Amino acid sequence: MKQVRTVATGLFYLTRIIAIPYLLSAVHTLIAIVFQTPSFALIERGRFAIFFPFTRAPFLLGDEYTAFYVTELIAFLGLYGIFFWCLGNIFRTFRGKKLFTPEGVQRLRLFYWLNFSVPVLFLVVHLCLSYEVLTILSLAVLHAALGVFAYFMAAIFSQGLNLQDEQDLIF
Amino acid sequence: MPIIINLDVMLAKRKMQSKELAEKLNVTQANLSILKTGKAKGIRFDSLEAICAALDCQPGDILEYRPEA
Repeated sequence: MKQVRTVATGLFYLTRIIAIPYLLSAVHTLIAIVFQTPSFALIERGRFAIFFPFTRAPFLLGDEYTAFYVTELIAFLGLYGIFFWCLGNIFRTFRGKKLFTPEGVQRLRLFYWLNFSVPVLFLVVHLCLSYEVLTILSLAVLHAALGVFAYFMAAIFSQGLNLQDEQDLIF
Repeated sequence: MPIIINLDVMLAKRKMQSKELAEKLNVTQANLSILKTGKAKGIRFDSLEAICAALDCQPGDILEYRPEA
């Protein structure tokens, strides 16, 4: 288990390192566009740029300055930030001294529920407003597959927790 | 539960405190109280052996079967 904990620790920090920039980018983009801060600029042919804070170096370029496009951009950044954060929480479960914990089961349940519901909702909204669905559909299917895996993991962990609680009551 | 643990009775007979027994068994008092209070779901043979050795008694002195009414 020591090796598992070591790997889990590495993956935990890696997913946090990925999640935080996603979330910060979502917040920064939202603030820049809503409040039209100096970090936002319209460029030629209806495109826009989001700059790094307090600089003129662009880090995001938008193809069209429309409500639908901007909303999807921010939603993508924010939701993938949440995804990597939740994935980090799964790896955190494997770091602990005790493997089967109520918190671990909760984290797995939240992870599979989010992976099932959020991409499907996103896809439905996208279908109503756009005809380019292949990318979103592929991502929804991938996340659903991940959700199925997490669902079975949650069932295994739940059973493991029950067995562990029973074992703890054997003197 | 039909299986009763008469640990308190044996401790009183041997004039031993729970704390002393827990130290002899190398378990915490909280762990021992699981057995004393009837919350335990089972007992391992090596644990039963250690208790009998510590209290100089037989398993039957610790365990009693009382069918439910």
